[in-house]
Amino acid sequence: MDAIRIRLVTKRETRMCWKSRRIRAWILLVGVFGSAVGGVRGDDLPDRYRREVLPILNRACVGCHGESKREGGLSLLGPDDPALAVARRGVWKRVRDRVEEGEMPPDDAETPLLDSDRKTLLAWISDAMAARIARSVRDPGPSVLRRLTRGEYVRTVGDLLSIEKGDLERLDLPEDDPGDHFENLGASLSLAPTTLERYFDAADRVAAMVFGNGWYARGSRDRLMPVRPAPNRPEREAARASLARFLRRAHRRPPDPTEIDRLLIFFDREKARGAPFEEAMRALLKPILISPRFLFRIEQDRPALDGSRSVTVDDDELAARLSYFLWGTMPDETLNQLADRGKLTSDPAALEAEVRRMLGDNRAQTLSKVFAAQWVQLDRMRTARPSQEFFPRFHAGIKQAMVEEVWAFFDHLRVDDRPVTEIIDCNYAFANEELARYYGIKGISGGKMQKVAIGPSDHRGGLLGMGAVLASTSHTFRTSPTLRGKYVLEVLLGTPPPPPPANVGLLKDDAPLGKGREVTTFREKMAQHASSASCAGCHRKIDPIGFALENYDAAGAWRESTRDRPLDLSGVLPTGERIEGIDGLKRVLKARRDQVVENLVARMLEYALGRKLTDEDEPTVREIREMSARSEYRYSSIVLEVVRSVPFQCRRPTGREVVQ
Amino acid sequence: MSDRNRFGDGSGRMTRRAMLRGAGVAVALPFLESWVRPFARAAGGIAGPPLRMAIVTVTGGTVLESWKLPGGGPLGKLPSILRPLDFARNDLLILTGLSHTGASDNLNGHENCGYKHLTGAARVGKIGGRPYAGISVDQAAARVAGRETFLPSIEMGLTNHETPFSFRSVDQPAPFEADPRMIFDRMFRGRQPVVPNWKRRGESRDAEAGRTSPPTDPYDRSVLDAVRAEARALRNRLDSSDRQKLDQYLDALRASETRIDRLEARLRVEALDVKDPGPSRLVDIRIPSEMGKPSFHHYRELIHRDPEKHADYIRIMADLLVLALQTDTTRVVTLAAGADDAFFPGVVTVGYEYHCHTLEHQGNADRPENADPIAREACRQIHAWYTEFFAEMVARLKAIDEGGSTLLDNTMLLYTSYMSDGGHGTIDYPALLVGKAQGTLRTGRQIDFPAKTPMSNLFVEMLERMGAGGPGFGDSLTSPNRAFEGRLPGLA
Repeated sequence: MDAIRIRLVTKRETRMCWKSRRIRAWILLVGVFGSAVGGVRGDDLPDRYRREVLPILNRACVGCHGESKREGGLSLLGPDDPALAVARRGVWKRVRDRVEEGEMPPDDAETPLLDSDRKTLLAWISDAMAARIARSVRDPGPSVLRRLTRGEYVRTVGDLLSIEKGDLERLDLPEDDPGDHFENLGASLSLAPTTLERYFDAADRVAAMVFGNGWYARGSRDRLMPVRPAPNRPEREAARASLARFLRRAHRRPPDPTEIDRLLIFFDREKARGAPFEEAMRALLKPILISPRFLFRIEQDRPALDGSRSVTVDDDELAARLSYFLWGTMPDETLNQLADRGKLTSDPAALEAEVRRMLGDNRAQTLSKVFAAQWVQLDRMRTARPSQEFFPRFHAGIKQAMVEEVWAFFDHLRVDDRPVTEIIDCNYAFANEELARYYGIKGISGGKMQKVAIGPSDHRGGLLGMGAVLASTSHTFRTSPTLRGKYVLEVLLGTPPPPPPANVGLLKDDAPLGKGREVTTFREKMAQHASSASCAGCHRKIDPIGFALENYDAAGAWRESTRDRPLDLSGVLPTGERIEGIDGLKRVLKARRDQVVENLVARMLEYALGRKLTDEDEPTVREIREMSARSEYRYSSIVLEVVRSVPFQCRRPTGREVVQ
Repeated sequence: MSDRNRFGDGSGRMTRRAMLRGAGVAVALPFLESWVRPFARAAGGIAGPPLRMAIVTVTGGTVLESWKLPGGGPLGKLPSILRPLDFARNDLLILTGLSHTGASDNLNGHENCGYKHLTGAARVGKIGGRPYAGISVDQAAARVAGRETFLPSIEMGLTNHETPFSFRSVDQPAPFEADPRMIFDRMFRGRQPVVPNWKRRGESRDAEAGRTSPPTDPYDRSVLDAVRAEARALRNRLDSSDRQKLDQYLDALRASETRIDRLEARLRVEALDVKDPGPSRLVDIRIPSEMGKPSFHHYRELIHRDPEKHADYIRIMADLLVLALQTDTTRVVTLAAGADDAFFPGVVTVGYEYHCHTLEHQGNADRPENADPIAREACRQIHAWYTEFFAEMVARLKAIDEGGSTLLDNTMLLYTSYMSDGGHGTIDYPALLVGKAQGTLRTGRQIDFPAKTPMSNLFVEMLERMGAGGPGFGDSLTSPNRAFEGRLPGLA
């Protein structure tokens, strides 16, 4: 009986959801056509869809991608209303990418796509994508309550109580599951019962550090007890004043008086047992450190004043968004003061100045060591296992230097405010003596990472010249053009190929070169798994990119040949572009600079928001890229535009959230 | 999911027992024997020591022809990898032919094996980068056997994101703890190690003690109350999707409360043990200080490079396993030993390659004859080395007297690996049961099952002995290679 009722409710909810999506789409369209701000107005888009696009789709696509077949989960026949069809940005983006690459329709399709139709279709999609959506009607997207990640917890406790980071590293909270991209995505930050137990343990240990003998402990106690009892200030008054100031920082907003009262009970109970002031204050620490206001980044749900699609967060919430985006820790005193004065939401100049200050601060290193490192999948280096027999020059020291090279490079982009396009190519690299020797770069001494000017003959510069990237996309005793190609598509271009079908080529791909197996060249061997129809579609895109990197061996060193045959570095992309070697690959990437930058923007926005992007975020991503183009894509301009964007500054208002 | 509920809901059986015992006594759960364990009872051990389950799993690349005998039957001279266990030959039960044949989505070879290893799931994979498999055998056992102990289960050792062996549910891996200090702290925070006096515990006096002595530390309780009140007040200000997240927090608070309850009840019983402990001596744990200096993370790097450090580490972890079972801190332990990316100079005495992962690949081929013989010998050496420490652990379990029976007699210990060979294989796993599991296993033999018999069938047998049995587990009833109605005949 109950089960039936539940099902009914769910069904009705689904219908309501669908309805509200329709309404949302309408609002979106009002945005597109009603109040276009610059860009393409696109009033004629629905009409052109009906007259020009739909017939093409019916001719060439719907056979496989219609309501009945839905190959690849894609139906191109969505809403009947052409105006709603226009708004399916995610679908059109997929169509554009596949058609532009020449990947769709496939060569063996029943009806080919005529060249003229292809042009018409792409032109319409391009206009539909470029149609601007006014900020006022933009959807800030779902906001997700986020727990502090392990790293954020450690840094926050360190700043809150001035505890040495090294001691806090030993708290051994569980690692967060990085999910698909970033470990700070709210959706994957679950809280298992054992995780809370660890926070309990951690709170006890932190209390022991604050009241221990470490050199910092006195300062830590001052953080907890900024106001001490004095002849004219009774103990309870001092406790209340200390608590108010400490909670302001721990909760990242001014505390409720009821909250202070609730906590003072702990103080009172200890006093009743005759504990001295400090010991009674110690009892407050644990309930604060495991409080949801500390462990989670809480933002208040608010109604929209004018029926708008978004509400701006308040100053305290914006301060926390800023500090966890840029620093991965709590706001500092300066930022809190700006929030207290209401400057962050009211004064764009003050906001910009504050972002610049924060970017220049050492704490912004987390953008390099956490954001960039997770984006470029640096943790794959942990499991990179170049064989010792084949790569005797590679060892733990080189491995570590390769990781530091990536950190140093991204931190240089930040500190010197370089154009982010330098991830494609640049005339410098970072290395210490050991790594420079490994790379064959002369004139570097010392164990410290340093910036080195390089020329074309050094074969480095940009992300794809970095040992960490090259070694972590290889197998133990050979390179993997497939892994490398996939890496470039995913990490640099933001177009990850779909995963291979279950169990295909998974287990045998890595089989060693045994007797009777060396009859083919490496490329012929690769060609095998790119020859069957089910594999070829993707491998035609993936493998040519990977082959262009064959000059780098499985441990990231440059080579001119393999042991017994010359390297084969050339390939043809599905678009017809020829690639030859790393230089050719860089040329292709430079030609797609906008796509590379837009992908970086998307990843940074994702990290800043702590959620995956949706199709509705696409106009925001594009706008951030366009705005930063005016400053040559300098690092700070991208960060600033992310901060200024609607999803960073706003939440969905009450009742607009989508239950997942 | 619904078929999993059987692990969580045994109320029917409890009621029957309550009627047998008289309701008044049965309410004083959960630290009385509240579960009818058919096997334990058959062994005459309701009041005696409980049955424990431990899994020691080593990394991949074992060499099966040196791991099992050419044919089944009573054990004669042991195969070379198992030879360190010769002293316990009569406690061994070698099982061959067991396999995982489930499907796999979007996983690499290590992940495919890692996810299936203890779950036997019919399908494993990743959705949006997050793993899914099925509940693992240790966690299924812990759902029942864990109700009566301080910790439901312990998962420890070296794993990585590719090898989350234990799953609490389909998509919830149970994290492994690598740092021995953290494990010790977790076991003995707020209590001191003591050997249980199983004879006395079987008598009703302990239950009385449990109800009369005062609660221990009210501070943690009031902390819980305070943050719960705060979370509830906060709930109304959040939007509905944020509320769901906060509800996770509230659920976790409830779980912590249960843990405090357990600790208190457990402490009352252990207070009596302190005055009148069981007959054996406590395992003496000495964690070398270098394992925490400057951090365990640092030491972990050393383990990968230096086999001597690696050996010290495995020994400490094995000692912790024995201590956990001896003190009845938990009745379910999983220990992951070894590491695919470790180096083994000195252990490997042939060839020039010491990197385990490389050796696994080179030493493996479609048929052993086609593999690189030197690398295969190196793999054999590494796995014989693992077995030395396992054998030391078995000797310790065998030396602990629990009042007429040894800890090994009261344990069902599985020694296995997450890959059946170095090529990410899942066919014909190494599987060795050690210990008579309170007389429910007839040891001293090798039993050969047909190739591809589901490994899940073994898990069904283990779970039944732990009182957590059910009609099936993993793919035991659904595998295309299902056999013996999901069971393994002839173990007892």
